[in-house]
Amino acid sequence: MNEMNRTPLLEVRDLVVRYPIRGLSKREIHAVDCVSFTVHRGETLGLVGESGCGKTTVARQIVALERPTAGQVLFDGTDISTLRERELRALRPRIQMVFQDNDSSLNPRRRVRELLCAPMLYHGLVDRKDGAALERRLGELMDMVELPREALDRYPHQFSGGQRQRIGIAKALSLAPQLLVCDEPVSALDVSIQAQILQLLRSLQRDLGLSMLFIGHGLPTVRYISDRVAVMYMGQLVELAPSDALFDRPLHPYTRALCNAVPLADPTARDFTAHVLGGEVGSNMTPPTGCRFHPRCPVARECCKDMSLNVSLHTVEDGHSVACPYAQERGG
Amino acid sequence: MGALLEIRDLTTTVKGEMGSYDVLSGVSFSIEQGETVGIVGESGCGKSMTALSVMGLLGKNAAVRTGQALFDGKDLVRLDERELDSVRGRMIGMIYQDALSALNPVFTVGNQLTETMRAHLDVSRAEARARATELLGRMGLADPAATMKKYPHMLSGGQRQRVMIAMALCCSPKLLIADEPTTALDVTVQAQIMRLLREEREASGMSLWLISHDIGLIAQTCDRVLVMYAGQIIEQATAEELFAHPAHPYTEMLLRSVPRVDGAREALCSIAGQVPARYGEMVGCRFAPRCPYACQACQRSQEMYTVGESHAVRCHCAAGKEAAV
Repeated sequence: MNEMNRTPLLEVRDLVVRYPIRGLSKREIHAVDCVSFTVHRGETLGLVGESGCGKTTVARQIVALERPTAGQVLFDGTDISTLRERELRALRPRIQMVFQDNDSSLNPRRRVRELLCAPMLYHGLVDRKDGAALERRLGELMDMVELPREALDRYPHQFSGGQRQRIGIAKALSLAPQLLVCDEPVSALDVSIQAQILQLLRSLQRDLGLSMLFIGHGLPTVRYISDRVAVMYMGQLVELAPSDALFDRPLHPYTRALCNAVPLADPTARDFTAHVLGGEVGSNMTPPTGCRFHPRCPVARECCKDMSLNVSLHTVEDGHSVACPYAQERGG
Repeated sequence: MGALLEIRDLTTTVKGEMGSYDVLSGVSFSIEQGETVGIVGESGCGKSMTALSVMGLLGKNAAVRTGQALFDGKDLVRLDERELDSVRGRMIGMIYQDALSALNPVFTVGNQLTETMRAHLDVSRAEARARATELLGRMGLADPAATMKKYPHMLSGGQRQRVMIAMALCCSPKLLIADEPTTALDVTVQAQIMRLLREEREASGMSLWLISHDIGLIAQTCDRVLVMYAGQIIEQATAEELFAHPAHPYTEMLLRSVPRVDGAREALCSIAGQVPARYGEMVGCRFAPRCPYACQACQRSQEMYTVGESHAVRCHCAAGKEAAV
């Protein structure tokens, strides 16, 4: 992709998000800490990690639902974290989000037609008076997500989970975005339906030249859809690499643990319980010093808990970067 | 040795607004002592319904219409509530996906564990407490004594799941029914829990009935696997056989619809359409409307054909039996 050389569509720089805890003065939840990554034009970046690691918080900053404590979110060169609400409004159609739970993101009292029209009318993408153009656009959207046009006149509850997710996608696409932020879009669906939605997202991305940030916790799913994948642990990125490289040659001990813990659909495969991680994820209020993974790391050393340990991502090979300072030493 | 649990021709009916219909149709299988049997299938296919029917936990609007569930010489379907209480929790333990709603929010963990033991076993309060603490320790909880004093909401999802497993195991049941035990958990926690279950099973010789939609989890945990679709068992075989040679078109497509974390990015197989509504009234193969190989003969009702040693499939095509129409 020669477009890769141009400015990335999205660049997140040293993103920090802390939430104050009510009633506990001066204590904060360290939700996201110094996260940096880019999403190129036409690229899908996967973001994986376990519940509570900060994936969704990152998404919320990118779609500017919240303002980060520090750091920048550059969309097409503009830092959206400092824009005023009015300036943001002009930008919002270009960044759209697909949610996991469409029961709560689609208004149950609106027909699909109304759900899809509202954002287009609000942003002035179609003329309210031009009924024919509106109808044409609605038809296009239904075709894109492979739903029949009759679906326009039904309510969200009249659809199955997979169909509702298609409506959620149509709603996001209605504003012709450049970046689609998908937060666990298939986690609540059955596997055969997951496959349908994943294939839909992939073909839409190709046909429309979309860029995607795909958040998930299912490793096979994220691998399937992503060009590159970033792994998060306790608010920090621990590894970032092209999809295949990451899953075939994980370098960070946490990424390895994640990969090892996935049961494979093969009774003769290696035992997924053989290398279970000990302990539990620590508190986000007082994250461990040094490498945040050190209390659970099977290959931790004494110096891993040093405050001075540099755990920012460093590149070890083409496009593959890892936060563990000893990853290379141990060998791939 | 005979089977520990033998389910014969179980049919369960649900009464709805539009009249009653069958959600399970002629489910038959058995679980041997010490065996791990998995049921895999998509939501609404009847996996949990089978377990609830056997345990007498169906709601008011559902009832077992025909069939038997023989456990230890007793037909669980015919037992009254009092007799069932001596089996449930004592001989058969059950764990669910949602530990938060399975645990009582107003009692401490210790309270709930000891109460279960005191209800079923002849133990003193002190003995029960000691046993509960020991069990929590075995579940890998860091500070079992402190956990005993906590309320469910004070624990993380993984910890709650461990507490629920401890509760299911505290009376040393002969069979543990695990209904999506790790679905809500992260993969690393899932691996911890599954290891724990395997260790407990190996130590006590208990049988495990695992219900899950996670094909990988089923593949790597079970000795034998049953595939359910629309209220019927459509294929059953040993795990090795099923994953190496899936016979039913549905099984085959289901296995190919999962992206592989280890392999190439081949096109995912998606199954067009959805599970039919009110499938209990269907004549013929219930998968036929979505099946790429469907033919005339599929209009007739399908029986389970044996296609190999301990491998059976509800599909005349897969069985190579082109029935004359």
